[in-house]
Amino acid sequence: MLRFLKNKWFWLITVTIALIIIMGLTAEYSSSNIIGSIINVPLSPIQKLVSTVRNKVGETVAMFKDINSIKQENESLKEEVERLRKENRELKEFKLKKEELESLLNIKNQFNEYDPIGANIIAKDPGNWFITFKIDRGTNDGVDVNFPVINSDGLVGRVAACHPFSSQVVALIDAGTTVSAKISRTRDPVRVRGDLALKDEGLCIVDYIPPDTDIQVGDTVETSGLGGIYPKGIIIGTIIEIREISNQLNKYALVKPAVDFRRLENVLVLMRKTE
Amino acid sequence: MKVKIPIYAVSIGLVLILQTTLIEHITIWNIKPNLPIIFIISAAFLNGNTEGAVVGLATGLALDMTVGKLIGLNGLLGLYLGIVTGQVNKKFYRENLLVMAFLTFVCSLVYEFLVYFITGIETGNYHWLYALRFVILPVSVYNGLASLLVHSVNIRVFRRLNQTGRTWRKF
Repeated sequence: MLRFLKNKWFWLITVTIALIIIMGLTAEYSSSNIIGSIINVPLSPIQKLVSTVRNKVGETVAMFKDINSIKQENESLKEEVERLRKENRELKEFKLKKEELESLLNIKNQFNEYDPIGANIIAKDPGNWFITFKIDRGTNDGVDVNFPVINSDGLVGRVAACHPFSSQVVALIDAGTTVSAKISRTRDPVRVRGDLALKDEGLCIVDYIPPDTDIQVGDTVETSGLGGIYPKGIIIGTIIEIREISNQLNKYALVKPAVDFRRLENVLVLMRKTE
Repeated sequence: MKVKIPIYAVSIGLVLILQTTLIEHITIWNIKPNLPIIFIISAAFLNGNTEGAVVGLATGLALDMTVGKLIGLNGLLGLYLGIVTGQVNKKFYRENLLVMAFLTFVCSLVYEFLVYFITGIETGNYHWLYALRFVILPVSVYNGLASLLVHSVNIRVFRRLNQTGRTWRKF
């Protein structure tokens, strides 16, 4: 009676249907992705190990390569440390003044609603279509889907999927990412999105700029805080080129992200405080 | 076959770890070769469609779950890739590296094309010419070249495995 179980066609059709159902169910990222977690739990420590070994080997090779330039760099760094110390003292004064004024004006600092947590990148997307990577923080550390990811330079992306010990982050320059932003100088609202053709150059675009928007090359673009994922005021990047679309009033601009995605190793996940 | 299961499991694990970590250091024009696809094609080409289907499904699913955007997509494509290339097994000389390189090139073209088409359905944002020129074609060429290496390793491994299988059956 159970002869059909031995039939290859039966298995092929069953597996195909099952996979299509799984694809449908997992099409939207969710934090309770059990199937993904099953394989991610044992794999992430191995990837972490390989990634560490790779970085160490790379560092050692690089150290022998440029021992001379290191000496020069050391000198210039010493100078820079002095300069930065001075700048730091000034900035501390500014900070105190800012806090004083903020409390006077009763401005709520949006960053106070977030707790940053450091994470290492342990693997990058294996294919050629997307810019996503895996970090070594997961649901066990309190990370959840759609948490913003930044580093000291600016916006990196957002958490797209979570597993117990790792999470997947979609980068700002991934073709599927859209961020609500504004031009820092003029406060004009714009939309920044990743683009398949530009991701390899590490760029993204500001599309559909209305004709009356005041935008110039060199303008800084930052998050607007609209859309609910990214807090206000995170630096996205700088406008490097503005292009007109022929026969249309609209134009678009190329943005060079503040973050260098090629050399990204550590990031900060902004965790929403749950009170 | 029983000896092959742990070998396959280890190989798939190795391929995945390589693909998600070291492979980004051997990119040419920002393009990475797709080791899992090459592995599936090579295994199916050497061992026929049933084994190819199982290996394709397992590798694809594992790839999906590591860092995939749509779980099941690579599993499904891997399954059919294994079946199709396993079918060729009967028709060509399977240890011929040139046939393998050509097969990998053609299969990669179709595979990457399908991945682009299916993952783009949600947004409908397609740039066909760009995708073909700067991703699909270079990946396929790179895969074809990389397959020479992967396949020659696989030929040795499976030759030894099949010999062990035969001696075991004798006694």
